[in-house]
Amino acid sequence: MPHIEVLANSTSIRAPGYTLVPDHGQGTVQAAVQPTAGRNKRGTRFAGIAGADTTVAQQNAVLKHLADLDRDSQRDVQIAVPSKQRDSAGKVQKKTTTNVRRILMSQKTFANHLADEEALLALQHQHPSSATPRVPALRLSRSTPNAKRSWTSEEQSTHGEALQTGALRAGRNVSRGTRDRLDDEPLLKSQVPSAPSEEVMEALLSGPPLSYSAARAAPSPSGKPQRHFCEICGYWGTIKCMKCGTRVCGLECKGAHDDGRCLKFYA
Amino acid sequence: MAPRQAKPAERVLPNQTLIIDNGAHTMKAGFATSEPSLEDCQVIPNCLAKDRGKHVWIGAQLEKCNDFGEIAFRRPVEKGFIVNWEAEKAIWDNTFFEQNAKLVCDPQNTNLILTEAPNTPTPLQTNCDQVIFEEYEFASYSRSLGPSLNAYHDIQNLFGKLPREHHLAALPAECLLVIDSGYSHSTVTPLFNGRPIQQAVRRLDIGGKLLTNYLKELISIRHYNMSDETYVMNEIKEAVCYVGEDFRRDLERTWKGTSANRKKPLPDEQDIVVDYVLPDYNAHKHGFMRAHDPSLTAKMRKMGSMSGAGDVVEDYMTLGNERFTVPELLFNPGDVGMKQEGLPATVLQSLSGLPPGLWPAMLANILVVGGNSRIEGFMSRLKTEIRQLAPSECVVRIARAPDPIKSTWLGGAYLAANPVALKAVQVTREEYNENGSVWLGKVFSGAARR
Ligand SMILES: [Zn+2]
Ligand SMILES: [Zn+2]
Repeated sequence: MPHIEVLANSTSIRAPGYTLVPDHGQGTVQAAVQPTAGRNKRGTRFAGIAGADTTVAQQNAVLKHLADLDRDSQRDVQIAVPSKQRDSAGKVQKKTTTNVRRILMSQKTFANHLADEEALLALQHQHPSSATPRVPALRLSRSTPNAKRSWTSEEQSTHGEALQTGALRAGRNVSRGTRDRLDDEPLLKSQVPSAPSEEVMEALLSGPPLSYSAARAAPSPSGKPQRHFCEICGYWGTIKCMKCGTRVCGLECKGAHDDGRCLKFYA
Repeated sequence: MAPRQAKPAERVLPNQTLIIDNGAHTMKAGFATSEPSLEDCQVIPNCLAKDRGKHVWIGAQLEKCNDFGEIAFRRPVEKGFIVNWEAEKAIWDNTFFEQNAKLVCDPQNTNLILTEAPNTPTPLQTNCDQVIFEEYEFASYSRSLGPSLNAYHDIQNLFGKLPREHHLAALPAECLLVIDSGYSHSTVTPLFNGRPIQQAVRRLDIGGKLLTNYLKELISIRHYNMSDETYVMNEIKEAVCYVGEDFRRDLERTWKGTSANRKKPLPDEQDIVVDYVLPDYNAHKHGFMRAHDPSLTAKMRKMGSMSGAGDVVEDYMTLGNERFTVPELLFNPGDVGMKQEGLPATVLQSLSGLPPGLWPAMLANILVVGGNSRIEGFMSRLKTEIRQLAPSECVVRIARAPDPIKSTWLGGAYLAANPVALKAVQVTREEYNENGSVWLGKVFSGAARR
């Protein structure tokens, strides 16, 4: 029984066991194989992506893969501190404080600490009155500055949605009149907004750190489609194995995949 | 009403200052001098390592290790943060406090400048403070955001201006955007007069470790099973990887073609494909890269089919698109499904947390530190993409620190070389004993003043 996946809205070429995904990875193979040139149409370009890798199983596979790539050791090795070193360390006669004893005994991993932090943040979210300074005081835009927009429109949008604190807004207007070192740089003159006032800078600098998760870089707002590569040779992964979802570049690599690596998720 | 406060005038610091940039992969450590120099900085593996003979090596002892085959590591620093103090203490004791230690020091007569990665969870900061003062009893201590120490460099000199006047030496750069691409991750930190603008700090969860593991995975599928050979994979990565100017072009250039129509490489394409000879831990402790020799491949294949085991032949592998698809993850994390923008866009995300009035100064003063910045082609690709993303009115200047590994340490050494600047950041053990660890956390975060 061939497994065939029909991708909605896409001009995929089907054959037993695999799907040719109209990817954005315009390799020569695809250009040659795909006769209907619909690649310039937005809908066609993204349809394959949207329909291709969004099942729960595939998302979990991606997460597991990322976790694997984050590991320090392939095996779960236990490496104990050598006992000789443990004994002779530091000043033996000194008493260890309760704090230090607790810290040295702790077996917590970073994942544990991160879970603690997120639980605390969730709690503060429910009870804002007990919030600690971890909650950002200044709410600034998290969207990426758009290069192609002019400064004027950028400023408007920033004023409109991002700079909600009165101090910042006022400070910026005040700073119009002041001269700054930067104004002497001829290349930077005139077109750009002037540097913020001292007051604004002090407000910015006294803002508390973000949480670990909040500091993580965001995904592309435009939803840039993912590129896929052939598992076997690394070339564009235009073909998707219907049994396991792995990408390969052509029939030759599909053969190699079937021989050695397919169904690894089920094994 | 006001709590008891230590009077700064009474604080007297010892003359010796130890600076530790405590990275997940290596710790950079050394004592400050009046003329800061890279020579004073030691790079020490921040790990315990167990070799295949079950011997456990601690930190700097690895210098004497000759067999890295199947070696396994335990790292106290996870994601850039000191998570396991039991292991970290073993490494620090070996480096600083045992007899014959590499950088032996008496903490009670030493000031400590210790770095931390951005966005450290508070309990880990508290643990660190308590170990420093309660276990080691350093005379004074400051816990500094690693990237911020780079502000003490002569930044304008890095951009080609004349060296700074001596009296300005301890003044931090006014505006500086530090990109630190290291082992655990890549962070973007805007600094104003050496102080971080915390709300705008951003992190891309791709660092040297992930690149090494990705290369290991690709090679294990395509060549040998290298799953237990992280050490050698890191060496291969450092030897062969490069960031391409034109990813699609390079991918076409390294395409093998179909079996019916094997693609012959054009003359200008041959330089991408290379051979890497693996170490045998006898004749050569380290592997090396050399030009690809197709005839050798054919010969080896023939030998393999004719004779069984017994032939002593060198182990080598041919590498093509792995060379550039691996570091490409710093620019396209989506290539492994990570839902984050690449490093250049992360810089712009950081800027979006700042008033637009600061963008020109930040974009004109970008300093790159961390080991990944040494990957061939990384700097020019980074500059090209930031230039494309940034407002066209802004000047983009971007420099790599002369020694991107030791740069943060050296910045700390410049800070320590100025007694006034040092005194302003250090907290003494007496102050800690009097005010406690919650107070100390507030001082370091800027929420409390002395
Ligand atoms: Zn292939
Ligand atoms: Zn499969």
